[in-house]
Amino acid sequence: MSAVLAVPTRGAEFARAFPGPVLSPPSEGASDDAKRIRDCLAEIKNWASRRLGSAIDPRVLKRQPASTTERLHAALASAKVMTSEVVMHLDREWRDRLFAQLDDLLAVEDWHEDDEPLLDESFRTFLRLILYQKPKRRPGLGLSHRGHLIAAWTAGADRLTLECASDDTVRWVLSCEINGERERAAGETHVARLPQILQPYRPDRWFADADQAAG
Amino acid sequence: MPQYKRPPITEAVIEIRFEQPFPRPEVDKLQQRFRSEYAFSEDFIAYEISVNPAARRADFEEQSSGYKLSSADRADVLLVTSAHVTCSRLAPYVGWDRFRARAEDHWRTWKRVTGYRKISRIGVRFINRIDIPVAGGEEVKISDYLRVHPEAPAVKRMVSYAMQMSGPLEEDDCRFVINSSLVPPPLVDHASVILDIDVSRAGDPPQKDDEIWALIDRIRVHKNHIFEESVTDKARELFNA
Amino acid sequence: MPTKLPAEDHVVRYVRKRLLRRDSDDNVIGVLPDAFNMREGEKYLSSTWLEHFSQEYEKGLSAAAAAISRQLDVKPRDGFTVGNVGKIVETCEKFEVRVRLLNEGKPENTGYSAIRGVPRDHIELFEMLAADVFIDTRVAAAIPAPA
Repeated sequence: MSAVLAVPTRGAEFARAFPGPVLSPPSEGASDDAKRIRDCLAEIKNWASRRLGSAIDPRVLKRQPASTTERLHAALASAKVMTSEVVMHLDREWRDRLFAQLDDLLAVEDWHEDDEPLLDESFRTFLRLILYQKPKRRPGLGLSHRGHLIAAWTAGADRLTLECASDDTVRWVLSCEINGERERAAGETHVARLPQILQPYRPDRWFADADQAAG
Repeated sequence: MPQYKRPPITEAVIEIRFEQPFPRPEVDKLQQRFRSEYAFSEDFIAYEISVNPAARRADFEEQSSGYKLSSADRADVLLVTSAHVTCSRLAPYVGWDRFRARAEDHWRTWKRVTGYRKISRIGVRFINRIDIPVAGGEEVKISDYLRVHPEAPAVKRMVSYAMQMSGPLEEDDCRFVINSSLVPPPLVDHASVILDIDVSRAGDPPQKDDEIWALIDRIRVHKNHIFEESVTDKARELFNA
Repeated sequence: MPTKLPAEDHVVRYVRKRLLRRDSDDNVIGVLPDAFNMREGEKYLSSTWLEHFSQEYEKGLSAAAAAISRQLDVKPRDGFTVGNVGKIVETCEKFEVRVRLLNEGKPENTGYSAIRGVPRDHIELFEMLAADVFIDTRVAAAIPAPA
């Protein structure tokens, strides 16, 4: 029997562990065997980094500042490749719609030079949020000037806005009617805590819909 | 091979390598020929870095260079390089028939542009990622999901591993490479493990088109066999959830 | 000399496309809270006094949008959102924030006005401004040019 997995899967522990080295370097050795192991570990790193699906950042190859178009294409490419890594957990229609939203959000013709394109780490948090919360209704998407994806749900006068930062951090703000009174709240939390935080506000008012968001 | 509702495939690859590298102008010609079929074209370089501590130097050796052509959704990829032609499909996997048809179509186009070139290796690679739910503090063992895993009786808890096995297959003079490691899980409350299976033929591979593609079909069968032998029924439940 | 804006009047704030609030079908339905967050280096929120150009709302909005477009690179799918001055002040006071809306006209935009005193990163305040105060949001391409 193999050992029990003790991998962090959420929260600050997860953020500290990933992205981190997959392999742990051992204590330094002087023998030929130690050198062979070191070479093996280096080879493993090599093959792990040579996945064909990984987009190559054109800025690295050209060694000059990227144009706006290149920056936007790189951000879009990265988001789509990240989505492909979890697409087995998403409905096809939801993925297609998400891509259309991203294409529109990062359209070159609408872009301002001084805006920050979508950050990879923000999009990663967004994907984890969507796959964990499993909203049936799609959010409207925006982008903060820091490059953080903003997901917004609106049901009449009831509003929920989530800004996806790095490391599973979500800044949330909501306004909704509870027992005839308007309540407002805001905070910052981890993706895994969000369902508990939203639960008193009956999040189905935003998330429930006939469309499937996550399979 | 059973059909899964949610196959864990993150990338499927068909690669044909050549004995002699192509000169750059020919690679450029190939890129121009395929460009209209793909939304994006980016430079591609495969390289190896070797470190020489005694000389206090790192050497950067280019293995191949060319272009990476991608569809608008970035799921269909074609690499045209000086050393190989590679057709790749990222998730969602579209099924073998569609994937193979695209690869074969590109191969025929390739040959029309370049003419015959001696093939040195034919390979099929499927990278799978198994996302294992670990919510609620339950104990999870890789062996519950994979038959390919490290085992050490003295080790009770594990946070990382990476392993590779390779060797000959009895059939078709092929060779297998299995890579497996824990990777950062894209889902909350999950652990993720890669099962990467590559089957290839490098010794005297076929050179005629019908034989090449017949071999690729057989390689796929060998790959499927390795996959099915490597996963447990508990893993299959995840692929059908 | 900066002039204090009357409480019954309105200001128009320019909002880039990425900060427009959309429904699940991508229709523009307002602005996101971040539309009121200052960027690095900014010391106040920019806006334009609508009634400076006309007492008629739609004419004032057209002229204000045109004036902003003379100052900034407004793209067709960017937006403009309108808020009442008195409500802005009242809403900020609910969060114990005192703001001043002052007309500080510029040559290319004589209606240019600064909203001074808005704190950074006050997401609850911004949400209230977005939900209850700046309730008329238009896409730039949908605003006719002034006559």
